[in-house]
Amino acid sequence: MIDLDDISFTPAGSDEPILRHVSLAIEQGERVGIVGPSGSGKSTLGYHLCGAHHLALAGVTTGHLYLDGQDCLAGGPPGFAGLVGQNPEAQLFCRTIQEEVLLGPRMRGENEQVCRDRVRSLLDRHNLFSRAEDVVASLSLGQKQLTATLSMLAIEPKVLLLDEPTSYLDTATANRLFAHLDTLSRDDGWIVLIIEHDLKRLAGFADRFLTIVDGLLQSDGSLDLASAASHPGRSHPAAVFPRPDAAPLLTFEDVSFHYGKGPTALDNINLTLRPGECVALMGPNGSGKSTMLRLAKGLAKPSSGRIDLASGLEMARDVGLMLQNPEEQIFAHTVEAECGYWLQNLGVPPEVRSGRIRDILFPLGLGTMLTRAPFSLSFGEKRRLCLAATLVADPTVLCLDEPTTGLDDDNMEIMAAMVRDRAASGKAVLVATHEDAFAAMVATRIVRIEAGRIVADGPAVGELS
Amino acid sequence: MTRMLREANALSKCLFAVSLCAYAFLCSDWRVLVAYVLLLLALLAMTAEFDRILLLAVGVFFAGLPVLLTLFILGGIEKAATWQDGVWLGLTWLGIFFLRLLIMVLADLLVVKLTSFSNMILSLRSLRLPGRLVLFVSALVSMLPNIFGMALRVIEVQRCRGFVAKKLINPKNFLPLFIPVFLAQMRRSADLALSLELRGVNGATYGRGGCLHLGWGDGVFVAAALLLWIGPFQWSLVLQ
Amino acid sequence: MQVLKLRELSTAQVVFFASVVALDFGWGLVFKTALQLTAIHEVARLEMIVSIMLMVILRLMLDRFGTLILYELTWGLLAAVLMPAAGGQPGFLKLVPALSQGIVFDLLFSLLQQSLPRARAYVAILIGGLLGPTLAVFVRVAMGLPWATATQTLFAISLLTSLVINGFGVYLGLVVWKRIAPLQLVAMLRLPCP
Repeated sequence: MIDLDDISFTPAGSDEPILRHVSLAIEQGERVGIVGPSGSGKSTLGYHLCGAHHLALAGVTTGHLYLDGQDCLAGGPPGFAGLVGQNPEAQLFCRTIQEEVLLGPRMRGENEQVCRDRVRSLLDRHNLFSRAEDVVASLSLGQKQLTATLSMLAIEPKVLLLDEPTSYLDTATANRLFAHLDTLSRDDGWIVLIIEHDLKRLAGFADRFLTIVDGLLQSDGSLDLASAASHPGRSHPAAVFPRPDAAPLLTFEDVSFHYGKGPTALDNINLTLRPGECVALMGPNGSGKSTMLRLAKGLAKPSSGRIDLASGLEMARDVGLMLQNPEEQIFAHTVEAECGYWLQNLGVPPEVRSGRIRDILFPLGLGTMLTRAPFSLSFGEKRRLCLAATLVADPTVLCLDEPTTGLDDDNMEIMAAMVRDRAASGKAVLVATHEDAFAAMVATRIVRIEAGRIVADGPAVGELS
Repeated sequence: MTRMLREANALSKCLFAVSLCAYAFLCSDWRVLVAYVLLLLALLAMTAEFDRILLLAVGVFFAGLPVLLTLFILGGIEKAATWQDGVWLGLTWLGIFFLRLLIMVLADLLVVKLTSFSNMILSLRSLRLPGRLVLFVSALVSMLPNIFGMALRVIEVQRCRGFVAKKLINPKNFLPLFIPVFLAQMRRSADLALSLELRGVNGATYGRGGCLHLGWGDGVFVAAALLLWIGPFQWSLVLQ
Repeated sequence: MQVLKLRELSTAQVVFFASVVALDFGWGLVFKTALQLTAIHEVARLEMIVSIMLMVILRLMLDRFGTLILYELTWGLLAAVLMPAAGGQPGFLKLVPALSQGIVFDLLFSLLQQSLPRARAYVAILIGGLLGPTLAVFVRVAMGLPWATATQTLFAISLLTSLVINGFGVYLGLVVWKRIAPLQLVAMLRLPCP
């Protein structure tokens, strides 16, 4: 069904190919996982396997690409493939869930009743039928991701590419989705391609793995989960640095918060952060983790209760917050300028700024990229730059919101090392994360939040086991 | 009756609004203008939709009044022999100006309140406009609600790094807000376009379908648009 | 002079174009209205800096005659629908200054493409940007605003501030263009240079 022969892709304006001499064949009904470090070319390969490269990329593809027996080097046939990207919100176009899922079948000119029956069946299967008339803008991220996925299932493609398909889904919904995909591939012969960082989940679904490193197809076959699991960083226990007798640096006292007239986002939160601690806030999407971090930074005020910092500390200067998406932050012409933005706003003189920037960038592996345009960095490098841009002001309390989303193991390890160093130097760290592995690497304490309330608060060792 | 007017084609509603605005431009009789204002207010009240846009429009409209008052009074004083006559002259001019302005704003609001977005798209498609143009309008409306939220998120991200609004006095400080939002929009556009293309939605296919259906409501709007200029209403223009 | 042909645009370019208009509008929706509540807006359209930046970048990406005309037309229609009382011109009258500006912008951008590839942005926006306030006042005078000293003074101030603000907008737009032009995303969305 899919036949790649010596495929290379060179992006526009560059001489270096980002996909090099890839040859492989995929048959009907195969379930394939695409894995590899950040920036290795996974998505690029995925687009080529779908025949969507001419739509998604600007550059030159060489080699031979056959889809369903046809030469598709210039692009795949219409309706051949479906694709759900990392940002599901961006893919939604219509007003309601039903309209969104109906769009594809309707555009193909199918009978209206047939379209509606198929969509009803899809929505019903994924417990969305009762919400068919809900406005898409009001959905949670997970529901949007599911809607985007169903809108592609509705067109019944021969190949389906899913990029991090469960990043916003809860476990039950994700399991249902994978069960459905399993049926589609076994019974209807769909090829399902999944790009996913969660190798354990992927291993439960895919029966073939393509490992891409630096644009080259490093391996094609089964995945050695054991060696992946024994990555040194992942088993490294967090060193214990907390000072229980020291005065707290940050205190939440009976804090409640709600957005406007909406439901309560945080309910009666009591939390203390001491020097040397690294507290991981864990819980499902929408539980209030990010809200706590925003309040800690002073971006919003609690509806009731109080948030106190240790004497002499100010939220604007001594609390650093790195939010989830590095792409929403980067604007400067050089890495150095991007890193120094906070210092510039604090009025730090240029000569002092330069020294501090260099001191923070080198340990993060960005020291040789001072004059590079930050837009040209890989996702992992951008994430590290954002961390540097937060650490450069040496905040006493460091808050991180889902710092490992989209990161590969190496980048995660670098980030974890930095966080451990902060705690070791007597600062405090508050991390919102759903990644158990990262929490295991850095946390001295785990706080679990559900529906805006703290349901558990204990040492990391006990909580994670 | 409201239902009949709602179901009318968006094009006939726009025709009425444009005709009324043009008429208001030319008419100087305050009695006629007041009559039309009252008529538009009554129609607007029948829609019973008093949402944020309406309140905002009314608020902004009246908020601009003090400056207009100053300009008209100063202008009147300049033209008249005495300052008292000047004030009265200015207020008279302001009255006519204000009524014309009000008619245009109310006509605009009425069209918006009586037209759902899907009807507007259907009207465009019934005109057999190029599919890309229809896709353009649809994409515009689809993306508009998310812009504000995205911009707020970027502002929040930069606030974490010491950005404060008063720094915008130096326009260079627009860049930390502008660039991330602009790039995010570009990425969003590319992702949306890819999703649409894969589902068969592109400029060539999107314009297909839709026929121009005209009903009683369309008749009312077209008749009203024409009656403004002919028949007994023409006397108001003669009175100028 | 190469004219913008809709059939020449890919789906991504159409959606991108729409997103820039949406961005201009959404960004300014609150900003413009908030400024309207102060007297500053009568003389200085500060929010125009972002609009100008967007227009400059869009024109450089879709470098064809007609781009900014379509932009201004769409913007004017949106403004008439969503901000009927804001921006000085009521309702659909917003289209008058908007479209006129768009025509002048596009003409100058296209005519000076070979002779002043970068500076044409300054020429087009500064000259076209004078037309907007001029027509806006013309419309208001036609509606009954007295052409007296106070109005003339306000008009002169608005022209001067328009020049300054548009100048800043072009400068910043070109700064942004320099930073983003090498990106692959831009390469994908850009029309080939004529």
